[in-house]
Amino acid sequence: MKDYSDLKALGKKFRFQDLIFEKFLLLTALIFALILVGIFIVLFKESSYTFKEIGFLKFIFGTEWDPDSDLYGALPHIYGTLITTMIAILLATPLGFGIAIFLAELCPPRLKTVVGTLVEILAAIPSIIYGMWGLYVLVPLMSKYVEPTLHKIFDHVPILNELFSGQMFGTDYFTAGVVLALMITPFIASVTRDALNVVPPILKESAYGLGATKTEVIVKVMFPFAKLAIIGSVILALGRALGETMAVTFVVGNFPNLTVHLFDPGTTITSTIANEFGEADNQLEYSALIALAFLLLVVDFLILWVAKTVFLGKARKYNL
Amino acid sequence: MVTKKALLTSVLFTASVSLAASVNGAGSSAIAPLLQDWAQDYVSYTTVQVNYQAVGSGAGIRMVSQRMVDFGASDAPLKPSQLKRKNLMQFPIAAFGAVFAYNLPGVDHLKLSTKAVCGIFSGRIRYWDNPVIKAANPGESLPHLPILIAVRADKSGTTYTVTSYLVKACGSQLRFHKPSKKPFWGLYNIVAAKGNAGVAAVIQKKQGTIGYVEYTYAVKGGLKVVSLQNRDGYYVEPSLKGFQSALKYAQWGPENGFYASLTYQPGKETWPIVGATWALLPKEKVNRNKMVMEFFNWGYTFGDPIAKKLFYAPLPESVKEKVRKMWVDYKYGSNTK
Repeated sequence: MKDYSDLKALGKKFRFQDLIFEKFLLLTALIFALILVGIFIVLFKESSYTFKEIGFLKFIFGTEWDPDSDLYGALPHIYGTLITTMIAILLATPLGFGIAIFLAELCPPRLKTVVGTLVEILAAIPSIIYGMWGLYVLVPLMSKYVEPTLHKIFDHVPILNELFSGQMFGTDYFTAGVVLALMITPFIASVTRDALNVVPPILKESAYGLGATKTEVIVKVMFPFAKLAIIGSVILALGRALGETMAVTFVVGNFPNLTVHLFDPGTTITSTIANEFGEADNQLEYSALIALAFLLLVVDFLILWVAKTVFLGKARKYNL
Repeated sequence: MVTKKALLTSVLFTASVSLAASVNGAGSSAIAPLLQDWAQDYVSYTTVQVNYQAVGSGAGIRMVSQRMVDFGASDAPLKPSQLKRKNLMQFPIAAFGAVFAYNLPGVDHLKLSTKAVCGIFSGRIRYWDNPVIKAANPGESLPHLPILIAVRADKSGTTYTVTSYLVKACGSQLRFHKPSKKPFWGLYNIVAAKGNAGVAAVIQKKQGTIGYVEYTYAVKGGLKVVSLQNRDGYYVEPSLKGFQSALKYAQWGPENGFYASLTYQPGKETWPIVGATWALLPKEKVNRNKMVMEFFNWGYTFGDPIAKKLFYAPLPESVKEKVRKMWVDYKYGSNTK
């Protein structure tokens, strides 16, 4: 009898412990949700002055940005953010996949740890270093060799000749996209490699047993199995590219510029904020910069939401 | 017993005062190296700690207007009307010059007339072998290279100083009509880089580039600098002496809150692109201001060698005397509100 009551007390104690632990975890999650909501509210409140003075649509679709004449248009900044991110994703995705496949399937074991660690270190380099390297090393290379060569190659291809042209100073949308691509490739590569590594050997062996080639195993067995994680890695990289500030500011040229010429200087939301916030001395400019930040948050949410529902949704539906 | 206690409290009190003796300032990043070096020496002589945060002139003005710091520092002076509205006192700390640096192979001593500078910045002169540029450089063989202009991407006091010079020298030829920390240049042969270091990097890497940087960066980066024609028509090379000469001719004093534009001043030796950083103090905080003024007085008196080492132009004695007189009037006068 005595043992039984002890057990009861013990059970009570454990249930109490569990309750405390649960509430604690709930609190940690809630704090972050609240911080997010708080940021949203503050940005909206501070930017409402701009929306009132200039008009919401006029601010978003305005193409001119000149604080001296009280002109604030966000469109070139939004455009720049989207275009640099797009270039980055287009370049980084195949590159990252390539590294991941090599590391997971083809790399000799001795090289594996070395190359793998190097890729992970690449992901940990602070963005300002990418920016400085971009400005001092990449920009001269771009303006001297890469951009003139691309321009020459695509000179007679209808749409591409428009894309691959411009002033070719080296500080432009294209260079910014390339630097961003280099920054996010390690993310895609290391997550994709981990996903490929956990593909059950029995699946691969069955495919080989049926006479599949190495390429077929990778493309038709391993990638479909790891699809969710791989798409997740691209979305993660997308998020980082959208918000990257320092590296882009160094190489993007920093002129609000709505152009299809990728070799022309442009700007992004984050680099405009970084350039002008410290010296924003009138109320409207201060508010307009915060409104830009607010728009970036909205764009971020929209893109991540679309990416998650469309791609992840589709992947779940058909494969898993 | 009572005396003992009183003694103890007085000791504690003085101790706590000397511990709490610190002055906080914020603003211009251009003046930060000077203020930080001054502060380092100042604390060893007086035990008063001066903390300075380089947050940018705009943020500095905002912080001192909201009374978050003991003084602000701005690269553009506030107008007397603004000073009155925010109840601030203003005086210059030190001056600096901006220079045009360039990258032209084979050309080591480029001279630009005012007409040439205006031609370049209005977009009418597009190549280095333009006759207007050639006229001032008979000995040099100028290449047929397109001119690329490097400017600051971030809002900056340096840009404000340079555009102030351009507006005075060129007037209506430009696309912008008033000095600005980041003007609408309206040019196509232009590239913007972040910070003085960024502009210097572009000039170093790309042939045919001309750009403006603070004097320090041109010297440290080993860039070739342009000799400019000043207001009196003489060609001058940038030098601390030339910067100081501009300060002597400026019309400023306590009556206008030391509000003055220092660019394009007359004088044979005067360098035309000169700016300064101004300190801003909340007028109503008399006791704190005494500490701040003591710091700046120390800087005026003993800080010139440090300033010169960092390529700032110390204020001429005549200007320092005017500021000191304003401080004395403030301490003993009635205009404290």
